[in-house]
Amino acid sequence: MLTPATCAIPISSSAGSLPFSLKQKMYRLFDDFDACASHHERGILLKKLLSAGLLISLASGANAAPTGPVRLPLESYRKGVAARVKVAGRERLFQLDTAGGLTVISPALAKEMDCQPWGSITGFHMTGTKITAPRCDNVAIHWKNQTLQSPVAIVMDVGSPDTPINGLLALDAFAGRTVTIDFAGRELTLETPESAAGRKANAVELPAHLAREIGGLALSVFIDVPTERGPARLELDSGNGGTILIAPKLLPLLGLKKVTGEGPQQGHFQIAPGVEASGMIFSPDIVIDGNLGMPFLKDWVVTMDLAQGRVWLKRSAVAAPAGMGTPPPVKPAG
Amino acid sequence: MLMMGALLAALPAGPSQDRGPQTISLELFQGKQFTVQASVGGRERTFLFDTGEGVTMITPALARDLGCEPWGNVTAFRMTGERLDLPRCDDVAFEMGEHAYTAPTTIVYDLGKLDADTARLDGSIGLDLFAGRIITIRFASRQIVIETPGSLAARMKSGLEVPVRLVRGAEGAALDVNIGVNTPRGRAWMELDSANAGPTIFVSPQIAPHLGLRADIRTAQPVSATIRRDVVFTGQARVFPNMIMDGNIGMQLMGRRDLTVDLGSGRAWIGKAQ
Repeated sequence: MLTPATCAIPISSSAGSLPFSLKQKMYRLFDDFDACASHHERGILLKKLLSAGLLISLASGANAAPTGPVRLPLESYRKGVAARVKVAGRERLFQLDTAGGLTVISPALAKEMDCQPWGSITGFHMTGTKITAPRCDNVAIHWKNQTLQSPVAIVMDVGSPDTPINGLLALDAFAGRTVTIDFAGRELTLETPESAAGRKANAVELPAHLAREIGGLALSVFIDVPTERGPARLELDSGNGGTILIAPKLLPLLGLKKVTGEGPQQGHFQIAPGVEASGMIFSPDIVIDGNLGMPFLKDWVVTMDLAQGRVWLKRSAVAAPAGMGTPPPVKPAG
Repeated sequence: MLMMGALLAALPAGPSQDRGPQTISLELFQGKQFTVQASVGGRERTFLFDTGEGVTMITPALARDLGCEPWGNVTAFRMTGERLDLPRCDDVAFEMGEHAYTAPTTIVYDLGKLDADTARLDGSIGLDLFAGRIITIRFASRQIVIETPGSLAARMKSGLEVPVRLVRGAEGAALDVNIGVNTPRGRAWMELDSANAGPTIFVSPQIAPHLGLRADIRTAQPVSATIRRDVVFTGQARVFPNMIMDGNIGMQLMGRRDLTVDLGSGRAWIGKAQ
């Protein structure tokens, strides 16, 4: 049963100077706007919304219509890359995990942010392992002169004691934008329509799909890889430092050997003309067709349109740094 | 106004623009679910219509009729986290009314395993079949309406926009819709699932206290869930352990309301059933 509620115009528009609180106020105003029926009430609220929007852009400089693409530095982290960002007023290190789905913050960071984690987020690792953790909402991540927003971040410990990080930066923080990641060049670019067009001109477009799991909050990218039976969908995963993974059933369809257990095997398969995955290929029981980790990504500049679900690859102009995408020290099976 | 203009301009050009909205009839099945007729493989067939299906399903018999030998694997998870691994057939063409639809990926499953009644069905159609379109689901009138720019404008005018998110699981092949429910801590997201045709919505134990529910009770409890200030669902809820989502709302809401959903941009409007 649906019951009506009333329009309530907030009296005060005073706010703290922090962008976060201003944004909260703006969201509240949007909610109020929804509930107001009359043109007069909506007119008053519209003025408040415009004022709040102006204040936000002045206070943060965040996402304020850049005149050109924004280049943001990455740094090597284990076999992948990480971003040095600012959260809750202090510098933090977040591993860039394109298959993370949702951005992750550590419990310690949540505490510093004065967020009491709530609710429950359940996701599944590609091995099928269930992961459940609470959430913090509207986490602002400042990266150079940009502010990214994770609408819902998972709160859990990640990283390892010898290489501590404060969280994982996933693609949900870039939803709706076009980004380019040069893994070997250790740079992420927030594209403009013009700069994106330039990227596409000299790149190979791959059929792609956006996966939006966990209530539509998570965001990751799959590309189609042709097989004799149809397209297999492989996830682009910068959080996977050292492996290329293919589901056992798909091995022969990609011209690879059937192996006992997870393998691995030395092999290669074509993704598109001029684009090939090669190296140590593992075949564990996974809930997706496959996963292209850093052994593949390190050689490519990857442009992703995270609104339309399109992907372009161009070979990186620089060699990957030592250790990036290195497979684990195991011998091929058989 | 600008947003509405952009939305209308984004509607795919096609016959429906000239001929008005197209209506697909639904029929009651087992007293609480709905089926739809579609021509597949040159024959009229009967499918469940299930907004929580995710990936459209066909039976092994229909796969054989289509000359498809199921291959690969699609993994899905039930509401309680149970894993399902099913083979797939690709690019299955459906005709309903004057429209043709293609399911890029279907899962293959024998519905006869459920009961004798469902054994006569040829599969189950999910929202993935309508990806990119704007549809109105009218269970009370037993219709799915494929909207045109003109008909959408009318729906937008008469309905109330509600927060929704498109959920694309199974490597992006699946399509479900979650609706936002406000809690004092933030917004919870509940799956709109027409297969939930019982008297209660389902709520996870973690969200339960934020909706005034006791998490330790398994029987139905009264609930009031605010979707927006002037759209409040009141009814009964059951707290379900092990849920992998915040909640699940089915016919308790959709049975009495018309829901227009843009399955391209992820917007939705709710209105009184006409």
